[in-house]
Amino acid sequence: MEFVSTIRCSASFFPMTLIPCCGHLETVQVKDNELFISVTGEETEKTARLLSTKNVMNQYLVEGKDIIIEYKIYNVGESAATDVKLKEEGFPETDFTVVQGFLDVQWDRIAPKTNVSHAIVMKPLRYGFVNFTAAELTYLPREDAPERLVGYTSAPGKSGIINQKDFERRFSPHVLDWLVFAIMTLPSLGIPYMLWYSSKRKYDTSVSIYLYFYISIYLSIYLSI
Amino acid sequence: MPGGHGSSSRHHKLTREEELLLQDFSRNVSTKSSALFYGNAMIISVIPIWLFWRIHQMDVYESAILFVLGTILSCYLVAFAYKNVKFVLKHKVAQKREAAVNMEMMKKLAEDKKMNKKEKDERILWKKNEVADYEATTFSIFYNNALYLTLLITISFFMLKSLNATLYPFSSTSF
Repeated sequence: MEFVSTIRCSASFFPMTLIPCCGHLETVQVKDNELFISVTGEETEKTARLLSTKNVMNQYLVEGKDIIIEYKIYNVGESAATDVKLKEEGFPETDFTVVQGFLDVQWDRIAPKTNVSHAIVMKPLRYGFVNFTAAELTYLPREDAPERLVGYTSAPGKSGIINQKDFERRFSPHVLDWLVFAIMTLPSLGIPYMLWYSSKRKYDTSVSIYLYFYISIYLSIYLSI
Repeated sequence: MPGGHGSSSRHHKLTREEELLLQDFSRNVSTKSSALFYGNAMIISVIPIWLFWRIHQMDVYESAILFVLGTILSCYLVAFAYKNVKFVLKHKVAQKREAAVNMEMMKKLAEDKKMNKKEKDERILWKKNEVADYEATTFSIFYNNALYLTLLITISFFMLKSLNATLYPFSSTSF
């Protein structure tokens, strides 16, 4: 007996890699920002089908600054996926250092119509172009499956890591540096001004004369009334 | 002609009052003023190194020659500006402070009966010149420092904005 299964998930996670499963991919449609994948096949047994994404969460990738990589795995099948293993080999030790998280992860079970997520924090050690490749995902489509299915996550692709100096120049507020600069310039401006103003205040009688003039006019008007 | 020679030598001898007047109208500054100007100019010329190093992220060692030449040039130009502004201001200040200085000196010299009018006028002129010189010097330093720093900050940001337009100066090689 044949079946038609329609998988429905958010289109924002497209492109994704459909992990090999029992059945044939018939149609892929996007309606109202949602992805519909139709699969036909023999309804001999219910199996797990996993869709996986890999996303770099940062807007800017900067040398020496943390970048967050998020993995999402969706089980769109009818059965639970067991012994799910995610293996990341796209970050060579010469170019990246792990700040937090694990490059190899394992889930005992991913229930049908559910999803799991995993994140790692990496630090690029130098700037330049980097190709973010897909991570490998292996799992058992059902508990008594004879062999593991191998698939891959989506690949973010080529991206540029910015030189730290250029990033700092462009985006850092340099609050402390500006404060030090202000302190350095203050004596050069403040001392001459204070010396000039003290002399001006001593000899400049124009203000007091004008003040006296206005007060005398005001008083004469007031007294005449 | 001895008479002519005598008259010319008499003509070259300047009184203290005339010397003060000449000094008042001269662009030349005293050694003390010159040292003060160059000292201040040096301080104000060194400050921008911090701006370029810390805020504009320029490498101190790579740009050392540029910094040294820039500092020397700006030091000379700022000191030159001090002198020019002082010269312009001195006369304006002298005119403004004349009445106040006259009043102050008249009060001071009122008790002194021995001093004649010429000596009093000379003393007033000297005081007026001193006040004008002091105010012109201090204001010139303040004004030029403020102008220099304002222009430097503004120009440095606009210049560096046009020079470093790209945000992604990546190396040509991939990882």
